[in-house]
Amino acid sequence: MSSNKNTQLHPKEILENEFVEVMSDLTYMFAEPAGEDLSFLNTGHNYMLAQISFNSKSLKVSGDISLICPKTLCEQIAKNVLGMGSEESDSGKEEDVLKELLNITCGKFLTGVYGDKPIFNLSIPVVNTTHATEWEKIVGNNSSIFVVDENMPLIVYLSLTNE
Amino acid sequence: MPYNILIVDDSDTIRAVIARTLDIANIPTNILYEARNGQEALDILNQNWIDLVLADINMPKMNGVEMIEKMAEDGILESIPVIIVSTEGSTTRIEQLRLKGVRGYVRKPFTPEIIRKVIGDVLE
Repeated sequence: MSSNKNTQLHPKEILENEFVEVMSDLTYMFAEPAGEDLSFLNTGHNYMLAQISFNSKSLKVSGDISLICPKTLCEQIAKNVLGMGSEESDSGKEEDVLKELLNITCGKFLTGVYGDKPIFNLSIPVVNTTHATEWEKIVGNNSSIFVVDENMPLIVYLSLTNE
Repeated sequence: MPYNILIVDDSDTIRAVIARTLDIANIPTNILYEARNGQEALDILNQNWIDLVLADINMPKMNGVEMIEKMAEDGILESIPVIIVSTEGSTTRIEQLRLKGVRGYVRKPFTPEIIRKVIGDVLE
């Protein structure tokens, strides 16, 4: 049985709240929930897709969280996290930063949903490059779409299984 | 007195952030070592004088828990203080780590103030 410290919130809502907070604390950027007009998603970006899996033997729960982000936004996030100026090169750190953003979000999500007692095993995040046609398959009821810097999309997707 | 500090994390980013945070927090540092996993950390620990280890848990090849267990088996390494810097939120796991000898815990993301306090508590 889970111990949900946010008893009135759905896990997807908890993930959204934790993600926004982590984005702010770690990257100094604000992720706002996207409105109903999602036309900004089809902007021809190259996207980066980061995924992390988690499971708890005691709770018999498993799942994964995916984070989809335009490569250009990942580059800006990396510079913010590393304290670099806009003119500096992030030397390919965006993949690593995206993994860490996802790692931290996942940890806080799990605490938010299940409390601070259960032990969860987390996979090491994996990052791949993807295109709009791929993330369109993922966007659905369990996806949360955010806007960063007014026009940059960022998608967070949750998959949860109770065994 | 300045310390020799070892940062253990598979993320280049987090190692850089921790290094920067140590500087901002005015932690007196002599030499800063970095390792990408527990095995690299043990290699460094066996060849250099280290005053403090800041380590993640979830790493490839050898994770933080395995590294701590190896350190506890070594008559010299067992005395080196280890602070876990992790996304881990389970108090159950943190307590298990303390029983294995971990002296402090910092949850990511962290501020210079938190790092300074935890390191101060451990090294004093």
